[in-house]
Amino acid sequence: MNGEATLQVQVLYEISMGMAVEPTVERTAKRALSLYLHKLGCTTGIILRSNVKGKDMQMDTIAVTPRNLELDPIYRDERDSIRAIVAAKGLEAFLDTLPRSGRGTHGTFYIMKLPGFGVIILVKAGTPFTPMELHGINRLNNKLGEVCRAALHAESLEAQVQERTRDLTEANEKLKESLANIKTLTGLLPICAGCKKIRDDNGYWNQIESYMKAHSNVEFTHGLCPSCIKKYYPEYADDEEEKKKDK
Amino acid sequence: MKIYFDENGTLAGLKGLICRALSDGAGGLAVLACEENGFDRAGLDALLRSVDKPLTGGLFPAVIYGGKACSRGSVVLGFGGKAETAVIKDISSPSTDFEPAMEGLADRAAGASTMILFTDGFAERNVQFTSSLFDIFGLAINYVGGGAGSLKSERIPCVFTNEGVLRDAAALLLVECRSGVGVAHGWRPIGEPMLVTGAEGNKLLTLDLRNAFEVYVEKVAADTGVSFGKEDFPQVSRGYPFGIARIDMEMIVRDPLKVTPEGYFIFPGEIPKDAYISILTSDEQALLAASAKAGGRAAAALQGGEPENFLIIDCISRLLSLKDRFGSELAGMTPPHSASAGACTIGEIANSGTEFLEFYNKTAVVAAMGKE
Repeated sequence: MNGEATLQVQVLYEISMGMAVEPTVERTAKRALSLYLHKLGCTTGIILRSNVKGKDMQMDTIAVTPRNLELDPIYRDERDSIRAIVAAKGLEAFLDTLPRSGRGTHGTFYIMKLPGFGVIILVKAGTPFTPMELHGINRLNNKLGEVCRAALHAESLEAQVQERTRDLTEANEKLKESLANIKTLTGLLPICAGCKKIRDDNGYWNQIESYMKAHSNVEFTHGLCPSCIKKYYPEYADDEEEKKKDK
Repeated sequence: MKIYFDENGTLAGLKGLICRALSDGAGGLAVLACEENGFDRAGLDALLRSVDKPLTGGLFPAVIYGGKACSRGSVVLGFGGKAETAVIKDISSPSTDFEPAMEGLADRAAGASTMILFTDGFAERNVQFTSSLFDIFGLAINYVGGGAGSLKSERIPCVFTNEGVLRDAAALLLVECRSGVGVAHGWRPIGEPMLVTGAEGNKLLTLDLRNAFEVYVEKVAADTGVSFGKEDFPQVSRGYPFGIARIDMEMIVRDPLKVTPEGYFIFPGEIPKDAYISILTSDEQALLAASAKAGGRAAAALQGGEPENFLIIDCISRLLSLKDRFGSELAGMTPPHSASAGACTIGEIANSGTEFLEFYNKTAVVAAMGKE
């Protein structure tokens, strides 16, 4: 390989190694575009995504450098001509016409495929790319297409993760609410040694039944123990004693 | 563009230049001063804050006036018509978003032709800063400027703004004055390029999987026949910087600031991992030819009439390399008897209008300024 070819391989390698999947497809495309412009001596770059919705097809702008390119008639003309061809003949027919190139006021423009993603437009001032350089750039575009697709996939996965995280957070909140409603008594309870009333946090003495009902999930059902029967209903106390003996 | 010069480098002298420029109707100012002037910081801050027109500028190792570099003195450039400015602070911080300030300035850019800009030459994200600048302003304007700072102490408040002198900042000034810009450096690679296998931000760790300084010594010693140690590095690096390759364009020169005890290089800008870089060299003839080429390109790029004068941004390392011959460099940049002024900078920012905006080192930039 001669020096020029070696340099070309090195520069394309650098661009290739510099591409990376960022959190969004826009950032991924912007990073790659910046590398293309820096290393290939281009002044302008645009990455468009082919977007198919049912029978409708459209090209969405994903990254543009510089941003004020909208003011540039070359960009507007090219963008409009791409849209016109896509609208008239369909996306596949448009992709079949690529790569295309032509001279504009800023230099030579190139429209090339990003397989499986869309197209890239580059504007280069001064000397146009050589056929060998274009060959290398087209190979590089394959990787850019892959990286952009990976970014889309990562974005979709991230959206799923966020949706599931949201669902889990909601479920967790509900669980927390339910747990908060479960009443459990812990700690020391001040109880009157005589009447057995319990003192609450506000200092009021409560009947044990009402206190326990308010602070736990216990429900009371009333009865009498043998000694209380003797005390309050002595006429029934003997019957109760007899029943116990029979058993 | 009108040029004003004070050779004494006093604060009173600078104040006089600014007053003259304003009374001559300047709508915006570029204020270039030598660090050797030793301005009182509080006095300088007060003077800059008192200027009611947009300004940019900085402290530099030397300013350029009358075909020579001056290590003492001040230059004020007055631009007629409307001017707008923006200041970006904390450039080195990864959390700083440059774009809001730039977008704000872009909204006020109607009618502007040229951006005069100065940044802290030792800021760590100058490369990213220039990329953002191009992303927002594109080819709609020409850019001329560079890095301010001191070669004696690495980081000092050195960027002039309407808020005073700032450290780790950039000041952008948009002016209506037309310009044509030429950029060239004259450095050529020695040996094969090397792969950056280890880099962290602006620190170059390894080349071709070996300690960066060891590789550097080996390559340079092969060219000079003399080996050297880290203590000789400041001398040696003047003649052997690094270069980053691009297709169909001159390499971008990267001048390492220093070498660490571990043998790592520190650069003023980010060093990308997996990049190929070369060691460059040059000679007096090639440097002078390149600066003349920059001047020729600038004059040719100016559309709509002859240049009124020239703004020169030339790397301080070229002055240190060329020494007494630096006058020849300046003379070759502009037509005979033409007026010129500028600064010797720590890094150069310019766009010839035909390529992406870059942060250069060891490069000569000439802007042919149109009549206002």
